[in-house]
Amino acid sequence: MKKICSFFTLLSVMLLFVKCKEAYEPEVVFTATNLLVVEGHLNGSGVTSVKLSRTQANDSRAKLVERNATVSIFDENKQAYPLTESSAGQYVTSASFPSTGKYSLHIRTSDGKEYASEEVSVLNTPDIEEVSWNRASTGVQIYVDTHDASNNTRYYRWEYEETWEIVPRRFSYYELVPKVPAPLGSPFPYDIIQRRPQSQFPRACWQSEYSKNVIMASSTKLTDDVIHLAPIAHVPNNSWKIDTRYSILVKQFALSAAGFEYWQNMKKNTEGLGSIFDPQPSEIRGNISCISDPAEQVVGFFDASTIKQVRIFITKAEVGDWQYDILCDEKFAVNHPDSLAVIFPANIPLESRGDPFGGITAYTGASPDCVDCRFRGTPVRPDFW
Amino acid sequence: MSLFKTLAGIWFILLAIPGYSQEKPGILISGKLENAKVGEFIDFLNSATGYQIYYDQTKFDSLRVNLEFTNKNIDWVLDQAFKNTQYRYAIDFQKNIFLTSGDKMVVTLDNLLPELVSDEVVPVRKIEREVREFLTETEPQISVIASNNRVYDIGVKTANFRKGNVTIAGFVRVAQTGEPVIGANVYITNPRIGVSTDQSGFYSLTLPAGRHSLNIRYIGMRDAVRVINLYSEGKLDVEMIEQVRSLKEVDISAEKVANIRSTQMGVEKLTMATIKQIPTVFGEPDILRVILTLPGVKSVGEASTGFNVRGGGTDQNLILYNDATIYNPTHLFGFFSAFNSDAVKDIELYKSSIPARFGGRISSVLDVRSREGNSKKIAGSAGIGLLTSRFNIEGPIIKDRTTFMLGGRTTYSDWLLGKLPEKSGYKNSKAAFSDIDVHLNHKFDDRNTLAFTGYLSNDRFNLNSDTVYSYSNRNLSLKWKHIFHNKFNMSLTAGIDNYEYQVESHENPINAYDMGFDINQSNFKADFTYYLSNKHTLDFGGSSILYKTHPGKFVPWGTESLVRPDILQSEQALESAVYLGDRFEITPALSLNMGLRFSLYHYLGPQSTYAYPEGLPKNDFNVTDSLVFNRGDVIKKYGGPEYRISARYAITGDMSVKLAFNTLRQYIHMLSNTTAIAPTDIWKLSDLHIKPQSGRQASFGLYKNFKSNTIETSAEVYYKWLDNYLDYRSGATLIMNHHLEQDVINTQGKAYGAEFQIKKTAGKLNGWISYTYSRTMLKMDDPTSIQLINGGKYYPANHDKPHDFTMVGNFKASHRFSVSANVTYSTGRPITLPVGRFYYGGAERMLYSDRNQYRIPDYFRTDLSMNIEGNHKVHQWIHSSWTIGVYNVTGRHNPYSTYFTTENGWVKGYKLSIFATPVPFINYNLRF
Repeated sequence: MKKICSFFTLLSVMLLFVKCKEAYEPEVVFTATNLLVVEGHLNGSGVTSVKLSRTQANDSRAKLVERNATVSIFDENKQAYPLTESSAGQYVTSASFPSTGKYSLHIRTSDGKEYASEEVSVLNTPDIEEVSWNRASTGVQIYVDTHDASNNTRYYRWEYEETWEIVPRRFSYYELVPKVPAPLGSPFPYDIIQRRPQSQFPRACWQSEYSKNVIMASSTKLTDDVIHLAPIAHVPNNSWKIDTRYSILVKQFALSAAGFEYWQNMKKNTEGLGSIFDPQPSEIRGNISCISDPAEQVVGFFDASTIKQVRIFITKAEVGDWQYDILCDEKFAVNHPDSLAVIFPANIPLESRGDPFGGITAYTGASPDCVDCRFRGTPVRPDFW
Repeated sequence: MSLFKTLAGIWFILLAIPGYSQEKPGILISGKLENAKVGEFIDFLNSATGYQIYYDQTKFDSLRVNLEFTNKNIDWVLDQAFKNTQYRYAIDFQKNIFLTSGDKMVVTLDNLLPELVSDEVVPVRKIEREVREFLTETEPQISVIASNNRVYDIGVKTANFRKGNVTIAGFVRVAQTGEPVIGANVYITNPRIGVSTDQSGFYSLTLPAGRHSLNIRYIGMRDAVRVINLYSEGKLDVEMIEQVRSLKEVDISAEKVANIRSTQMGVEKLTMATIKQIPTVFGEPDILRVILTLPGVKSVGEASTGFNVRGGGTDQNLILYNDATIYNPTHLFGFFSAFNSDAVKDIELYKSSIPARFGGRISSVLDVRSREGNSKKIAGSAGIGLLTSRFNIEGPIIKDRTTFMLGGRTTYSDWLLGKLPEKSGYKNSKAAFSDIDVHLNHKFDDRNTLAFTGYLSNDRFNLNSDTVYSYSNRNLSLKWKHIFHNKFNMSLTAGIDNYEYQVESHENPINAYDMGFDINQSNFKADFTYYLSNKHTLDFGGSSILYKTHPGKFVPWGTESLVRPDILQSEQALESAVYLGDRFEITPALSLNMGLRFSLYHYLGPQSTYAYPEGLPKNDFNVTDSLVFNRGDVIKKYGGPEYRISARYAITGDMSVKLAFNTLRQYIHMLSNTTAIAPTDIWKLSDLHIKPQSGRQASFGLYKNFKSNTIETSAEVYYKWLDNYLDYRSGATLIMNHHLEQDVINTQGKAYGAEFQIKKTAGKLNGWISYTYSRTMLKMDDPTSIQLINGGKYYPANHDKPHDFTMVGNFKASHRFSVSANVTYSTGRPITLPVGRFYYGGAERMLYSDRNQYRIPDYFRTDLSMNIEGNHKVHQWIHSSWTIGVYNVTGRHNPYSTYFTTENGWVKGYKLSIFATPVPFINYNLRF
């Protein structure tokens, strides 16, 4: 929990000593064995996808996906809805599941082991009432409001996808074209020409990021099933995400009490421990078990609900006083091969400076990431933009 | 001669000079005196002999004469009557008899009138002195030093000492302040018989009648000796003189043999003088920090003052402040202990053999006692530190009868926080605490005293968020001590204890709430001590505690709040106990301390709860019935005997072995999912489903002193069993849980270890070195639980730190300057580490090992402090001192904990260390 840590820092400030936390890599051999990890959510209102992977016993960052498994969802009448592997470890179906049914997930891995989940019903997720934001001293805080008039839902989880536009800082009117054939011994074997239409840089790019933390809330302590200003995402001050325009798509999932507990344990275990008030890490057991070897632990929880989502946009002007900047100084080179070779081709030419007679005396340039937004995002305009 | 004239003049003033009586110097008299008082005796002599007799009535009150004689001369009669007393007589040439107490009066002026000297009268030293003593009609204030040379008559004075044993009792007090001296040794050397004074400074000692030298010794006090003529039962109060402060460390002769002689094991007693020597983080003397330097006492980490004694949980320590139970002994997350060091007299920690008069917790008893206050004059002290200040004032309300003491502490960190720049992000944080101590003591007479203690502590903090935490302890206790007679005394204590906490969050109007918890107890106890004989001392009594807790309320704040008011049912219970203990000295070498305590617990209605079938997991699916109990119904009864036995065999005068076996029961549990005591911990009473905890401990110890008891060594081993300790299932909710039984799991524990200590109690350099090897293992074996931690196998407890080494040293360079050091090493505490990684919910996450299978790096810390005293003129108005020091001199980054968290989708490991650089501190203290 950060707050406590801050408190120590606070005392530190007062007592002129500083250290509070430092990186720690224990000399622990990662012994955990190849456990199956199941991320399964039955989507009552769209494409259902189940991701299979393995826990890693080594220190590598690669994701160990589980391929070639046979995955299907059964309803209570044992009718099977098979899923197909659309990409490595990801199994999907666009079958629609009646919300009255109860469903369970069955997996047979390529090594012949069988896994099954408990039966779950499809929860009906209420609509998101509003996604709002405010300018806090630390940045922009995004909140969600929702409510269930029937007071049935009580447990909520959210995921979000942020997308933001990147507009290049500098515009390039010129481009470098290699001289053909390349002259021998020339320090600057390029021609500088007016930029042609086919080599124009995109005027804007877009970058997206998916939520990584577990975001959840419950209204069990309230009289009404109301979630008011639940914090969803935070854009820190002067982040490039709100350099021009920013968008967030918030997806809302209803959870069962068991699902809530599972996600909450996952959150407690992995998103903050070590302070005095934090509980000890605990074992988290989901609702999936291995049929062929009941002693084998399986990581994951299979649940089912419809998904509700809302997208909002935030522009830099709305936020006000947002000072993201990257260093995009214009560099200057006299129009002489020796000078030009100093800044090109490491930079991209922007403009020219001329004398009164139409001659070019010098060129300016800037680093590629100031000119070409493709270094950071995709130039494909999202359909919602 | 002018001297003679003066003397004659004084005699004239004092005594009506009688006329001449009959001559007949060799007159023989006969008679029979039975228990004659001094008046009767004098009248008899006067009428029988005609001698004029002069004496000071007040000094001869206690004389009783039993004589039968025929035809004896007056010298023989007086010799017999005064035999074995300090009374002396002298007969002058004018047939005057002068009776004196102590020295014989010189009635002959040897130089001037040699011819008049009678054979019987031996001139003693100088004339002035004798006369002056004789002349004092009202006794001058006896200086306490001189008391050592006086002879005291105890009981009804008789000519001969009677046969058999007689009990003498009284109080030992500090001469300057009138406060009791607790634990002073009162003894005679031949035969060796001794006792220690109890909590009110009272002693009762049964000795053969006769003349004795009674020795009274205590640390920091000058040794006192009283020469007594013990005739029959009587009282003797002793005032001891404190060593002048700067010399305190020089003379520590008292209690020297206490470790060898006492039958109790594992008792640690510390006086405030010792506590003040040990460096602490903010320079403020801290009881709980010092306790952590003792063998067998550990804590989970640096910012927690919850402590673990011999493998017990933090809730298994009974913390008493003048008999009031303190539920949260810390301030500010445990950075400070809740006790004002100026108000505390001493502390005693019972780790192993717990006297039968204590009960209700299974690990230890920490008995903190306040001072009674100066009964002679107004005095005070104050301390000023970087973060806190404290003050203390005390004095008599009615001199020598009623004393008061008032103490307080507060922080002023808030203004410092306010000074921080906005950017630091802490400007809006607040952290404050305060505590107030009030003590009143009234002495009705020698047999009755009444003591009142009031204690209030408050903590309130928010960490730059809108959630404000606050908690407070409130305690009142009233104690009446009554002495029936020398062998039998009693103390009655009644009190109210309260602990509560609150959490409030008001920022989001829809979710704005107040949350609270409180526990209240009213307790009454009666303790009796009967000094049956030299061999037996009986302690017996009973106690009763009525608990009432409000386990939680969660209510809306403001009009917009949608928070559903949720109030958990209050709980009530009655815990009662009776006990009998016998301290039995079989031979001087072998003594036995046997105690039996029978405790009984009633969990009372009103209450509604669920019933679950036997042997099935307690969860919502298995509820068979809903039970409703009315007010006054006994919902569940628990109880049973507790045995407290210890024995000591002294092999030689400075070496002994001890053995102890104890069983204890605890009916109240602290629910805490965190590793240390947190303000949001809840105390839960045992109920229909949650059984009381119980513990058993067997221990064995060897004690040997060297160098005339100035070096004490000890080795103790113990084995301990814990039953029905509470742990929680994964993901348990402890706060606002209506059916806690569904979330708790019974756990068994075992703890064992060996503790070694070398202690140097005297000399310029003193202190102790201790090494402890100990293990604490827990096991969940609740068959009804589905999910057992570590598959039901033993795992190390959070505070399991096998190796622990502590050195505490104090070097007194001069009377004004001393240096203290404290070195601690221990094995790192166990933690649960991730053993694997996986991806889930868009990020990399950790898979954890079985609980507590790894350890954080070892802990090592050195602290230094200097104490500089002002000048040592005893009579100046203010005495001041400075304490300057450095905490964690080596700046070692001792991890408090390690944790792994998902940041931006990747797992990152951190270790958190508190006080990771040398922390300097300075404190200014003054006394007046």
